[in-house]
Amino acid sequence: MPAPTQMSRNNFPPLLAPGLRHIFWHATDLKMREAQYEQFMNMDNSEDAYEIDYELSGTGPMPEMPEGTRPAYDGIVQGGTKKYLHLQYGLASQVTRQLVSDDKYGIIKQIPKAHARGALYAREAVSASVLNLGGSLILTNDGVTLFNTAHPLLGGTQATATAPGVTNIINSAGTYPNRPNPDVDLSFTSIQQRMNYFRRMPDGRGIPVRVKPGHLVHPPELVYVVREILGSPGKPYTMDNELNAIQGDNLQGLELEYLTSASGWGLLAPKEGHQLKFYEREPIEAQTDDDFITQVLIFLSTQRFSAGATSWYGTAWSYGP
Amino acid sequence: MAAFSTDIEPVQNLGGAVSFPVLQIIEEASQTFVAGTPVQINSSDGGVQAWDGTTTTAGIAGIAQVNANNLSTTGAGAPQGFTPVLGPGSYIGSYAANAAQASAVITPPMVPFSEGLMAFFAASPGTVFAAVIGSSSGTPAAVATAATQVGAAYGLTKDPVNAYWYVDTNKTGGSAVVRITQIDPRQAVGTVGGLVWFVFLNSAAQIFA
Repeated sequence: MPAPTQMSRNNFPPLLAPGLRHIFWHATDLKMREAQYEQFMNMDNSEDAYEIDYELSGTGPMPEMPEGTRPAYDGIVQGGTKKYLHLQYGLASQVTRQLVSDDKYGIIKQIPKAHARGALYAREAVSASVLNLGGSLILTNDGVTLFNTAHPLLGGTQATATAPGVTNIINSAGTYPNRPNPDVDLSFTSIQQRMNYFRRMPDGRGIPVRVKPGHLVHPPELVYVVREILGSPGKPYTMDNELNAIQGDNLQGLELEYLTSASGWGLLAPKEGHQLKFYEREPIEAQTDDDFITQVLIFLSTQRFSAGATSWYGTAWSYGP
Repeated sequence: MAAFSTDIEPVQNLGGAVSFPVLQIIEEASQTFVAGTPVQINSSDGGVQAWDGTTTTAGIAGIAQVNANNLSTTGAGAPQGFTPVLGPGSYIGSYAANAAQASAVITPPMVPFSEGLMAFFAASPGTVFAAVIGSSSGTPAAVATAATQVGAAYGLTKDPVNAYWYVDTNKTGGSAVVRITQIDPRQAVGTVGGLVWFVFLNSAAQIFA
């Protein structure tokens, strides 16, 4: 049923008289999960209406300069920008003055606590949407989706011509993938294939970069699979006595309850190695006011922030089969 | 012929609130109208577009609060439930960044930014708007305000020169969409091209009636 948007005494008769031993109030008795978005988003503050990120390549490889000849000239290449618009979030509750006064248990006065849970949910859900929708709606500064089979490189085909060993990874010249085609389930083999994305990852001019994944991000449904793959001393799911080679990569499982796909999973570099961002513009703020005529109290909680991905570097994702 | 119209703006709320009901709905593709334009909701895809000027029954959703963004697709970039803005953020002023990245754009600072939504003052019964009064009879021109205009129902017509809309005394009866509530008290009655205050007819309002 819809919640009453203006709460009055008739909505909560038990609060008006003593005698209740305990009130099981979800806002305080059901503990909320610890913040997860801070574990994978680069957190930053903003004092502006928006933030704009910009990308530039380095120069290309240095060619031989034969004796007595002039050097080759090269410059840097610009990429697109990513604009982070801070969106306002808000939630209000109306309560009659009589309900506040007659509430024997002090529940109604604590409504801002319930708002805080709703505010945190918004942060988690928006941040997780960067991963959940990274294959469809979330765009990075290169103009394609965050998780894509063909991210155009700043240097174009010259970049993949320069980058060593990418022939078997890329799907088309001048691009680099961070998503398999087709999507694949989490497995020992699929992790290795995604690790190859990182090991062969070039910069915009084709020079290999050192970006090492730190987290194997997964939904709750895959937690046991992740433990088996990462925790097994031997190669999992075989009777051979091989080492579990993935352990050498020191991946840490990161379970995110706000992922919507039960089969989606991915690899993320440590924060400094990727460009997933959360800009805090205005923190969660609770305010109270009342209407002079009706004496209705209004609890209002607001916050303003933005989340998104500037670039795909340091990420790889698969949405399952 | 010189332009004589200005943007339509809300001036009074009969309910006594300090603000006017504002709605934000996805913007229809390729819209270039200016703030103060009557808008309607496209029945096929739900996008907000400039009023067609002829649909007088449930045809006007409100008055645009800001200029249209000339979006490439309807609602481009508009956040969905618990998502960030789903696009580069601006469609006006962005330019190509790199030949190797066909979809990448540079969005300079200070250009208008778009969330893919169009904000408009809802044509609600309690919101009073103000507009210049004129006539489309013959060569469109401003007309003088008159006390007898209060209570009359007129239509709205787009100024052919500057793209703003005016209350058109030449449109009455089935072409009417607004009713005059008073002559702007800041101007003398009889001012040619003066402002009149009006509400939208219930029959013309697309959302509230």
